[in-house]
Amino acid sequence: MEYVLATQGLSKHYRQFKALDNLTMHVPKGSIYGFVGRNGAGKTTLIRLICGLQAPTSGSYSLYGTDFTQKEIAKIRRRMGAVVETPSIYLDLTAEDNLKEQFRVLGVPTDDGIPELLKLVGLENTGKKKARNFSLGMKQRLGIAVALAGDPDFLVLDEPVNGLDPQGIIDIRELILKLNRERNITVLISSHILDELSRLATHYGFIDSGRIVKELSARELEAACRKCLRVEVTDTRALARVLDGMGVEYKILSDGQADVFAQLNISQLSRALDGEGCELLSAQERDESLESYFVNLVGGGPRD
Amino acid sequence: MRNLLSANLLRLRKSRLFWGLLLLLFGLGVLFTLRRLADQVRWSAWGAQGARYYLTVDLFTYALFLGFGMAAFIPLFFGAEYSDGAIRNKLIAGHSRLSIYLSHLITSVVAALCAAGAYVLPVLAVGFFIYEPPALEAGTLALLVLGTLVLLAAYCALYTLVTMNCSRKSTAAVICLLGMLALYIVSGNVEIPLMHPEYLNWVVTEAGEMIPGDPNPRYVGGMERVVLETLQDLLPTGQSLQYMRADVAHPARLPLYALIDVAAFTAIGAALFRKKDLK
Repeated sequence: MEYVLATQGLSKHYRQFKALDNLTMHVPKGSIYGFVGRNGAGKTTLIRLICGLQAPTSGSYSLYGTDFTQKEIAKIRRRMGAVVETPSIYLDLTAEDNLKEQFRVLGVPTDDGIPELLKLVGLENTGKKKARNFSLGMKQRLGIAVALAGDPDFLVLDEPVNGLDPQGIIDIRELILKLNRERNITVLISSHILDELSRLATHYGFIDSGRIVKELSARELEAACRKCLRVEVTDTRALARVLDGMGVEYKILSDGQADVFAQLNISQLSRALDGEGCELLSAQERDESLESYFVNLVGGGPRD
Repeated sequence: MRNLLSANLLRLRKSRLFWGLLLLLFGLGVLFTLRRLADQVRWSAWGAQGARYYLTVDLFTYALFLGFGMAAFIPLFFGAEYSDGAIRNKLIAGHSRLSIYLSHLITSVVAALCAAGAYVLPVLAVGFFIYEPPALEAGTLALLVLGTLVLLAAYCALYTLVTMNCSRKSTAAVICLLGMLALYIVSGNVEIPLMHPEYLNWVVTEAGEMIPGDPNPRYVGGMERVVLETLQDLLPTGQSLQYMRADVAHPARLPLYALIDVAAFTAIGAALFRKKDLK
């Protein structure tokens, strides 16, 4: 699999505090990577590092296979756009002037692409209104437009829906999906709003205390969170024979445990297992959301 | 670097702060010229002839005004790069920290030169009819002009050092303004002992020759004088005081010292900025 971003044992310390602690993650090309973690888990720190705003204390990362220590990394960064924490826009300029600024920073020879960009983010009718007077959602969309000015193929968005109203959240979500599907832009989104992420992400990375605790695809997560019956038996081979006979989908987890993805009559299952010389020890219904998956993963206790 | 300069200059053109600075300096130029004109009218009314001023009396005052003006302008204009977060766009676009630093310095020098031009314009235009031509050789006058321009660059380099390494623009503005004030106090105090003449009086001999009279006990000589003069010439505020009085002991030396200031402030500022963790 081709990775746009890969980090290896990345650490960032601020004096004694370890903001990132040996973090290893992989963002596949073409994905929408949901970077999930609590406040202070290290999401923004990682984004600051990959944007070149700060240097790592140890470890490494690569963008499009180019290590951050190589000289070419500056050129490679031109392939990415980012909105880190707050939108990076000049508040005393209009939306159009902000894009003109960014076009000059990037050395884009003409301003012809500005109307299209403004239309893409829905700011084509803002005229001479200064960014200072924009709503939070408009500022966020302008920030994304600025990040898109260099026609990037990797977009990094740090908490893009924080503080937005429901309509603003929908606008940003649709914009991200459009960019990913129509322009094939790989998107890394950090967020702690799990419900929103679950509508977008194709891949997930869960971070806690500066470490990635789990990386998985949306399909794997869906499977992990799927409604199922978790059964404990004395012999999973016998269980498999019975479930195969019933034509039911299942997943063997260990020697004595399996998830069954169907509504079963427990008495019927128990009788069938008896016939195979296997005992049904327990059966528990499981219906995990992304939220409960995350809580189970990182623990729901208080933070340090 | 060219791209960054182009972007900075575009923003400068659109900045109300910049146009406000130009207007302020233009206003000061007009005010000073009119003040001299009023003096002349008053003196003429009394039938006096003595109220003629040399152009150099007011021409270089911008070296003082802009010392303070740029102390406010640079942190507020470039501090927005931090407060609005736009500096991140430049780094993500692949520009090196050095080129970002230098582009900010060059842009602030351009702004300072424009502001100096806004002051000089009315002084030269209206003052042409009021002031006496400078009683200086053309070469010395050219050195003074050059010196004040390099001095502006030295101020810009000092304030860029503070602004680029201080993430809060209001804090940076306070540091620059208070720092400027502190440096003026230092330069003022350095200047006082240097102003004392070597002799209290001069005696004319019977042969009509002027010879030194009583030595001045407050005169500072020897190595102490060399150190104080060098300090005064090195400090941008010390140079400003000399240009304001149009009484420059070493007109050829000052631009070189100002260049040393520019190089030193830029080297320190760029080195600190290179290590700075940005948010």
